[in-house]
Amino acid sequence: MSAVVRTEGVASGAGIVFTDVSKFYGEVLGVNGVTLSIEPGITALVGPNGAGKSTLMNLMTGLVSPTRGQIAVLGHAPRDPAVFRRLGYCAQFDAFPRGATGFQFVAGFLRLFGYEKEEVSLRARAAIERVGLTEAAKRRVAGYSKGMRQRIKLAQAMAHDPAVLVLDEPLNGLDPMARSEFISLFRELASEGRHVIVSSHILHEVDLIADQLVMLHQGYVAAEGEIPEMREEMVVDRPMQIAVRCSEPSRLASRLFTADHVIEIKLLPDGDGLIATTRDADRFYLLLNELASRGEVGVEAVAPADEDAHAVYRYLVGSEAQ
Amino acid sequence: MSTTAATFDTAGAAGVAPATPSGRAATTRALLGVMRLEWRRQLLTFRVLWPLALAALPLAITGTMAWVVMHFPENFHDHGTLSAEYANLYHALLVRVILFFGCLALFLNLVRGEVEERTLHYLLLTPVPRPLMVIAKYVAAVGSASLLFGATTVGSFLLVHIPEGIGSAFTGPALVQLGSYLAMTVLGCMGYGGFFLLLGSVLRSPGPLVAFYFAWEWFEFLLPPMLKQVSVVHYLKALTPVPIAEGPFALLVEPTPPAIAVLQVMAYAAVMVGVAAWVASRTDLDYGKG
Repeated sequence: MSAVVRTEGVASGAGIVFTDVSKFYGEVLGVNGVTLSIEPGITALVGPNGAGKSTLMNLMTGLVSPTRGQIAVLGHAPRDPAVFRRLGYCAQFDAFPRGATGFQFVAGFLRLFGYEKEEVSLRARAAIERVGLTEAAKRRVAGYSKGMRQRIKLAQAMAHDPAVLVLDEPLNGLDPMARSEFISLFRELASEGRHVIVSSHILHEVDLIADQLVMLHQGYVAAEGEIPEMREEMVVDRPMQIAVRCSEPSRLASRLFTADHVIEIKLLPDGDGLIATTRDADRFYLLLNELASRGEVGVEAVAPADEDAHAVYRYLVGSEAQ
Repeated sequence: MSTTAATFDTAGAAGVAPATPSGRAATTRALLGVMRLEWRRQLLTFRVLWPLALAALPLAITGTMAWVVMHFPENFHDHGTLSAEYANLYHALLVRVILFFGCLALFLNLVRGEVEERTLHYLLLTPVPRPLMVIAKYVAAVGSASLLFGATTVGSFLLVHIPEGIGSAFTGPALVQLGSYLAMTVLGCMGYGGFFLLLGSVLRSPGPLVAFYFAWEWFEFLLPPMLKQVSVVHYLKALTPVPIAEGPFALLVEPTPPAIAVLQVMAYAAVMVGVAAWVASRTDLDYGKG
């Protein structure tokens, strides 16, 4: 398995820094040899169930301690109370204190940050307003819909105005409208200079969310970076898919097959184009331009077909990508 | 979803320390916050039903006793025996059963229950240090247990005195007895509470050990003197204002002076809670691997 791991900035005091971190649960591997640096903005941890996303999140929040290696969150050890003042965590579990209303849930834990009563009330109300639950704040959380419960968890995680927000599968169970709202809120929070770390096993989702990806597979970091940059680093001498919209796809396919770097061509079902797999994208584009300029084919649009997280992940870990 | 930031500031975001409170006052508020959450969890949810039912049992028994004495007075000429009977009832029922199982319900799940309900991370991700959090939860539970079982102690004591007139419970000697029983109840909650807190912190299935501990406390009168030293019942007996019958097989020892007994129970509880706090500070929380 190729690993494209950027280690620049790992030694810096800012951000969230993992240095050769491993976590084993007895004989079972959680994560192994993780070295990475997470900067402000939205970072997505991606991978199937069991890849190590939650373990990585639990490590950075201090809920579990590493078997080996070091972690620094904003320059502090994860279990330092200074970290908890600046970190909010929204767990994947749909669990709440029994009998609590939305407001009681948020305010109850906010008190543990030492705020005075009035400040607790103000902050709880502000956080609840920010997730759009003001009208439901006095209702019991047990009666909330799944989307509302996700929202109130988010309100609880950010009520103390943390610099680092760790959100484990925050979009699970949300309808498209709620997803869109959450993504907007994540972007807003990131634009304020916060670290927003989001996990997901749904790859196309992270294309919409993340500035940076950390791809995990069976406890290892398979790749880390921005999606286009990662693809660029990986595809040197590696196949890449390119979609071409054109008027005569069969004719174009026959011409493209004369090039030695083209290894596969699939005609699109609608008959208006094809997807070519090439080992050399630059030479492919040159050839396509040449054919178009000679008027042999009418090219309407050209785009990389796999410059998304799903393709990157599929490339990195093979058939297990979802 | 609102796009306005309301009172949010971004000072905490870009590397500048946020204006979160610190210092002794903030820590006190935070610990009171932990206790408030625990009281809500224990007393305002269905969790309270089992301890409440236990707390009601002595009231039912002593109420029945009072009714029998009032309606069949010819069998109870010597009212002095009521004090002795209450003392025996207090030890056999209130301490060994009600306090034991009531504290089991209230303290065993202080930490373990939050793990099972997957809510412990909410507490662990606050600036309250884990050992202090455990201690605050314990203190809150001692408060809950003392409230429930203290009320039972007072109620059952008053019910026993009804045949003599309720005013008899407020005379000098009776008030001293009541004070002693109340102190014993609180100390019992502290001792048993500490043990069950520790048990719930370190064991996933504490059933067999609970059964062993129940037998240990119940048959404390049969234990050799050395082993009596690690029994809550042994010290509580030293505080009993009225001598109690221990049966023909009891291994009698020199009674512990009351002040020493109080300190011993507190020390016992402190050790248990201290170990539980230490365990909490070192334990990983992991509800399941992702």
